[in-house]
Amino acid sequence: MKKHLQFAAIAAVGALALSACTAPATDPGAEPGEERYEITMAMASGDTYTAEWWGWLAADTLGYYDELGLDVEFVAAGGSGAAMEQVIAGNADAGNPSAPAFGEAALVGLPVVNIFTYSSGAIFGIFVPEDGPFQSIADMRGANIGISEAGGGEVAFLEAALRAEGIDPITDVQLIPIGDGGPETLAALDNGSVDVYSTAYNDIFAIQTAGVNLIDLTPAIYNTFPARGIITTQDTLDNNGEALQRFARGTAMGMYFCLENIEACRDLMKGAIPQVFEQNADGVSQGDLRFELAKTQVVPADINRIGQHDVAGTQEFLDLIQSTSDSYIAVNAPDVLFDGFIDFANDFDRDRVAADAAAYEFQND
Amino acid sequence: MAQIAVDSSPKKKNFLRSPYMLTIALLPIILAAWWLATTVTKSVPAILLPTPESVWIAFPRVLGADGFGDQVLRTLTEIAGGFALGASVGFFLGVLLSSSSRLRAAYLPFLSALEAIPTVILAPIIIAWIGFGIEGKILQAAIACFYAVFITTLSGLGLAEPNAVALMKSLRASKWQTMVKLRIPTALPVIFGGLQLGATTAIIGAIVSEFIGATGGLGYLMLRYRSSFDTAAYWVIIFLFLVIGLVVYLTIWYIEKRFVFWRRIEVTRPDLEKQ
Amino acid sequence: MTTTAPPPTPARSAPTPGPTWWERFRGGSAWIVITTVAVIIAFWEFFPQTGLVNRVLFPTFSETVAAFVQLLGGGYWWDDLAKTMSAVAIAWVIGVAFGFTMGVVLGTSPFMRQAITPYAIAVQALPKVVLAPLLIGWLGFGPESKIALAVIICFFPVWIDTMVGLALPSANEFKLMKSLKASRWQVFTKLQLPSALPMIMVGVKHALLLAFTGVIVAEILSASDGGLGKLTKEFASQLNMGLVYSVVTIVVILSITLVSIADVIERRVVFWSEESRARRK
Repeated sequence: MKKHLQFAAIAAVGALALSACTAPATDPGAEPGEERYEITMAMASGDTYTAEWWGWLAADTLGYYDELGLDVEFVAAGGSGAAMEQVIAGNADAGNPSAPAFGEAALVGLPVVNIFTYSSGAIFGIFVPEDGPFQSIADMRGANIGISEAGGGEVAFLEAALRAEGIDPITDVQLIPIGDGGPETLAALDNGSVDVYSTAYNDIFAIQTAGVNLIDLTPAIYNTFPARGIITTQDTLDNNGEALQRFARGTAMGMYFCLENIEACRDLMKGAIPQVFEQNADGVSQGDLRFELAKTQVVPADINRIGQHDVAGTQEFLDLIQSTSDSYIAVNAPDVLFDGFIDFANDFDRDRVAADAAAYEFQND
Repeated sequence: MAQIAVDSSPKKKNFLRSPYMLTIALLPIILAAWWLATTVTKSVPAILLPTPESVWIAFPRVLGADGFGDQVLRTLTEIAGGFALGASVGFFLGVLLSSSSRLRAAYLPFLSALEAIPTVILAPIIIAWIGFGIEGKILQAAIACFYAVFITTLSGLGLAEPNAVALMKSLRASKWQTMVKLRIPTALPVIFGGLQLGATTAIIGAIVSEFIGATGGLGYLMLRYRSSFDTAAYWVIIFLFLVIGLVVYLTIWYIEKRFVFWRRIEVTRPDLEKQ
Repeated sequence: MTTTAPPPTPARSAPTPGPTWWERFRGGSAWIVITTVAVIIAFWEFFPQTGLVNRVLFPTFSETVAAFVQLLGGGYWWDDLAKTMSAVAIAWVIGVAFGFTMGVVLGTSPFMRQAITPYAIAVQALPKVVLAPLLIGWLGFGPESKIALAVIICFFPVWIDTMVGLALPSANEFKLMKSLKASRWQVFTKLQLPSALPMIMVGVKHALLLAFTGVIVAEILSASDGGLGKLTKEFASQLNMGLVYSVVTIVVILSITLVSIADVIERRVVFWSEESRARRK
């Protein structure tokens, strides 16, 4: 009866593998009353940091989280969708997916919450080559429009912008995924496969330095939209709220530090992701360009209310994405924006952080 | 040496005692484990692995979606085109390199190196070069699959017995005749092993090519479902991939069984044969 | 400590008038390699300058070399290299161990082999990278998920080749062992394993290559904790194509090196296979 034995062994191995699979991936968090807290933060990129995420980087390097009794593990989740996925799955306590990934999750009814708005402004835009055939959104009927990828964050914006001009994004134009500013994107713009490119602002720097001049046709309304925040789930908020609250304060401190001494943060960034600051043949680095853009997007409306949400802007944003598909449910912005931590986050010694900023010693230049 | 021939003896086997009963029996066990993990213990989050029911429910929705047939057709075209192109190039190169030991020594390392470059690295460059159309995807699938056919052709053509080669020579057979009448027939069972493997890698190559700069296909569809957090639909497509893999495999197995009737030994995949 | 004298060069016997180096060079294959490389480099250098292709996308050879030097000077890339290579090594070891175990467990029983095969076929043609979200959920964000992905990709040939190899001895050989009252274990170690090893080594070699590409694919397409794959993606998104081609070149060199190492190991392990084959004839 060896066969049966073998069979049982296989079944046992299978069961074992599955039970291992079913073990909770992360510890639900520190017990209340304990001094130290832990948090896993899923960063929405292939790298742990991109050039505009200096608030988090500064707080981590300068030890602000540590001071608050918080151990933060920053992990690279791959991209916004993947980060959102793992936050919802409970494998990360929080993440920083871009607003569209967050919005899309909220609109399909997933219990996601933004506890801290990190940046706002147009993260996505609509661009045309200087000498292209289409110079306004209104006459884009029949255009081949490049997007970054199927289901990319910019698609909802683009569709809404087209609809606002009476153009049906399904039948009147052709959407072609042409990548996020890499070689395939340049080739598509260069050989005229697409006449319009809609993507994240970050993605057009490389294209422009490669000699394709792009004109920005992004509607002004996009500038009021939230860009990125600390996103978590209702569950994590209930179970690990204290850690998240401290995380919000540490992040606010990091942002304040950078706003006091922006060059110090550029220096920190160069140390963290040197490959992004590699210069191209013209002596320009993408890191620097992205960093410059971030200077306009990360600055909070009120320096004393770092992390403050823009409820109206978020609502407009959610409504806009919702209008692009029948399968989305209506979402009330206040239901997905949690502002209980904002007061605590801003309650830190600003003079001391400013002094830290003034005393920073450059290391990576 | 092993004689792993197709079992042609009409031995009446009790189907209930055949291995395929175990194959079938494993299915409910897998399903039960899946159900247990996602529904009962709920320890695998639904966003990563949906419940069996939700995938079942998603099937008609995905299969009935507008233009679904076109997407399937597109992916199958890429697989077929890539496989045809890759296998022909692989076969041709195999024949070419087997004809000269010098060429072999010089170019084998280059071709092996090519095999080591993942096609995803090349994807942006290929797209930049030939565009976003289906041609680029076919090329990626072809690159992914040529090596398996090439290397098995090369090794298969070397299998002809020296005595048989000497006999051909004594009969004043030309190099071409030796190749067509002796070497290729001897090599075919091995080459078919390469075709099996090549078909597999062509499928993977085609699907992965649709992850980057694609305008359609099942891989593209899959990304779209994932970006809208529709994990059930994502898994429906994973199951479709499994079916495609099985069907392609069986097709080649059938062709091989039909046409390589003289197959003897040196079968590279006897695991698939009845013993 | 005294310096040791250089080892005396053994006096060579007078060379027999064999082929000159030139004749050997022409008779060998080295000149083909050199010519091919030269043609490729020349094409790479001059074709982008014709204006037929976009210079940004297709830099010349000399520009790529300059980028290569820039990369080596950067320092950070050693870190990514180490991350990729350690992931490859771990994935390879686990993959080979797992594949071999599976092959032995299933390969010694034709019944099990046949029962499992349909599943194996179906899974083989699946791009394993689609499982990445699940693996990350299970193993976390570190290198574990990409190692797991590479293991799933690379254990396959070892498994199949072990199964096939163990079935290679003929029925007569099995009968002989049985008539000598060999135990199942003895049949396995004295007959099946030695005859299977050459085949298993082919799988082991293939697994090395697959582990390598598997790790790089995971680094490009999913969360990866750094590595050469992520580096190419980053440079491509910067349109810094010289650096992209530099990393691709490194990948190629590494893969050739890995394959050569695997060849050496194979020759060491299965030194008897040629012999035995010759003897059988």
